[in-house]
Amino acid sequence: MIHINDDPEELTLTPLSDKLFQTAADGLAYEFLGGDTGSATDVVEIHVSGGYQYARRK
Amino acid sequence: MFRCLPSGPATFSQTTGGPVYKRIVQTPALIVILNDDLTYRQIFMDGRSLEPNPFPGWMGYSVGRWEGDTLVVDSYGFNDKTWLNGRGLQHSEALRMTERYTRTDVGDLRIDVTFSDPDALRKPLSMAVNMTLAADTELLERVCEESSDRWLGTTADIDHAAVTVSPDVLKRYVGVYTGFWGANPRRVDVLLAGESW
Repeated sequence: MIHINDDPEELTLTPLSDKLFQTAADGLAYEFLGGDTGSATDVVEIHVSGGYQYARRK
Repeated sequence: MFRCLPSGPATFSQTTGGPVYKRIVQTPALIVILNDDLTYRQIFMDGRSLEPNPFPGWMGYSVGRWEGDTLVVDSYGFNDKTWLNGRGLQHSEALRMTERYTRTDVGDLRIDVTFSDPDALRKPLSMAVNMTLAADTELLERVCEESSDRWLGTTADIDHAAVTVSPDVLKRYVGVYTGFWGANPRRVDVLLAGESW
């Protein structure tokens, strides 16, 4: 599940691979970077206009 | 595969942080909106009704009328290959869009948009978009060629492509991620189903 910018709506992620997920009804895809042995370091939000990379803060 | 195809009914709501420019060409019988992503819309002002069954297209079929100083535009005849917002909200060919354009002062335009789609939306979706007159520039091209290799697909594609990922792997992704979507701060909270912060 994800929340975006404190939006109370929860979006469900469907796994397309170990690292690539997509929201079931909202079209965006998320690719996690790192995380092979520990926590992921970044996530890339994939949109028609390109990929937006966000760093993990906690 | 969602390549750089026309933006569809919601060109004003799909900005990713940068400005979106439009040029509105107005005649008594026809209003044309030229979008900087190289798409255009025709709004027929000659009193005709909406076509009962238009061929589904990228930018739809639009008729307009004046209610006082507000331009009201009804549109449908959209294909189902575009989004309603920048977050990828999908719609069906049953989509109907109503826009109310009001010039609040000489430099500002407010657009109240309502999307109705009995096949995709549980209830009508409304949003307000404010646009500012850009008096000292020309309409410049804005093309998204860098996104042509991004996979986004459709809901059916997701169902068919879904795989199973172990809970141990999923736990590695839980966290708070921050960055910028264009010029806008973005925060993505990832958590497992049934959990909360």
